[in-house]
Amino acid sequence: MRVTWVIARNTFQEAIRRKFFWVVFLFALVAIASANLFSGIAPGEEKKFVFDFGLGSITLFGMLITIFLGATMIPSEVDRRTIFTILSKPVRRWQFLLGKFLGLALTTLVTVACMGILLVVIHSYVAKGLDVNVIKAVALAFFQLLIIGAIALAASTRGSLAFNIVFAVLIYFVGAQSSSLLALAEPEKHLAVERAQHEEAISWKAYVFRGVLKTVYWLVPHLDNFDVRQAIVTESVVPWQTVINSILYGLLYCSVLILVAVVLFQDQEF
Amino acid sequence: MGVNELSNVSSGEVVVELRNVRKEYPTGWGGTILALDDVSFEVYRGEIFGLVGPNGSGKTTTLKLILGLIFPTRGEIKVFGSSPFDISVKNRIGFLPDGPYFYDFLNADELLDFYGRLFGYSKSEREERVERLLDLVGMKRFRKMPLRNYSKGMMQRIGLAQALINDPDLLLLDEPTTGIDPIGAHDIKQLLLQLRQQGKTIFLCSHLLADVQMICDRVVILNLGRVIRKGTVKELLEPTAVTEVVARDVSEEVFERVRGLGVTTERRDGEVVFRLSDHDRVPEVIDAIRACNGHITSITRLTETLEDVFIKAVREAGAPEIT
Repeated sequence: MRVTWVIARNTFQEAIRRKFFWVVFLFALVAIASANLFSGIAPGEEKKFVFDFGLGSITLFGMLITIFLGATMIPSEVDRRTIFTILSKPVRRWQFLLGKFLGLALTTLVTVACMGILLVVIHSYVAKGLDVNVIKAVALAFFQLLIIGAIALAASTRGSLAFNIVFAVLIYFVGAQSSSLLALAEPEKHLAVERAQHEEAISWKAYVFRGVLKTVYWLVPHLDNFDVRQAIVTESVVPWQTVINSILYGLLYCSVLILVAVVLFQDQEF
Repeated sequence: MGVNELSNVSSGEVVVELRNVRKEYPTGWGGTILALDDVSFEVYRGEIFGLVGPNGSGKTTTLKLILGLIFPTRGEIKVFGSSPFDISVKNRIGFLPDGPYFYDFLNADELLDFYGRLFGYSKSEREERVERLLDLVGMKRFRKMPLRNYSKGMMQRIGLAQALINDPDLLLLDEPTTGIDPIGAHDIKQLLLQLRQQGKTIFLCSHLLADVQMICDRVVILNLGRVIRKGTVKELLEPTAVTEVVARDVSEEVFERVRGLGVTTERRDGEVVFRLSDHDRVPEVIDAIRACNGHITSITRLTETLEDVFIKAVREAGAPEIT
């Protein structure tokens, strides 16, 4: 674990010394801090506006940082040939990759934590009290970003920089709509029975289409599990069980992704 | 006398061994390009081993195979008797890549400390090693400067320092003197000779054949992925050796008689030059010159340089194979 930690620490150090990181990070802080100024757009809904705008900023800027860092991590090591000297030292390939992921996770954690603290402070000021749901939403946003970062990193073991970025963004958008995919794949559970029967009668193509949708549904991360905005905006309580289940799902998904990445990376030639 | 003739502490213990190694790279659409074909050689403990060849000859591929960065298509590679992928092997090697790039957001202190951490050295041990190595490569003054501001030569020096961080038994160097000024290059060569005296094995890839000739004990010449010459520097140069006897006042009769012995002759500024590749005949030629009251001006043993041998060997090569 020592070697993995050394790589992770170095990855974090590299990330926070990049100009790109600071530009995006500071912009995100300014955006969240100014949420209260814009809340006048929705009179009487200031609390909801601050939360929605703030969490949206955390997701957007967090995603910019995470996807960019995750997607460039391995290609830049290969392009700069820094990987030659690292892998000629007593570093196993899986340790290198895991270290890179943990470094990315640490960077995302620090970024989201800073943005999240700012959001909690501003939201508490507007709502005149601390809302634990906001903390839960920020925590879930972090795990959502972690999954996207793991996807970008896994793709970067084989793909080019442009492919990695496009792939991660695409998975994010599909993952964020995963429950809609299921609704399309299983219309009998979501539509009126007659309509579903009618659809099934149309053609065999529907079966193929539904099969593809179901496969995609099971493969893509269910990122909408991490989105509790609706519950918070409607002032419902987000149950701890939901938060814990989503976090466990996120950790499991990341573990599988890193395992796949390690397998892909194991016989990679440099 | 070359430095390689002064001291050879080679022990006969094989440190690196390649047996019938073939490496093909995929080119897409099922095609491959042959990078190495049936390459076999050994590197012994305590020697400076030179791997030379023109661009694209397979030198860097060979280095990457020894480092376990790529996989052989066929054949066997052993480093310290184990697979190059064995992590214990990596504790004993140091590597300087060609045109090294390092994390440019770090300074020299941080970079060496990072590599020291990978070997699990304690803080005090790392500090001691960093201090000693920065001194060794003459980079103490620039230790706090970010690497992104380093010149190519400075990068090369810091690259050498990182390769030595674990006091390796085997040092693999790809073009270590490229981009370094003559004094720096001289210092590096002296350092390599010192390391050899300490029993270290040095595997050197270089285009600078004069350097290779000067410091290497044994050399392999690669061309188009194949070994076209190998042996000690002496073995490679010896067949090209001639003895040149320069004399004056040599009678026409002796001149013709010596020429009749199959000796190359040449008249130059009133003197006669005899070149003999059969060194046993030198006393016979000297006796003949003296017998006619000729005067010997000089007797010199000449060999071609490694560069001459290299160029001749490479010119015999064919075209690259793409299947």
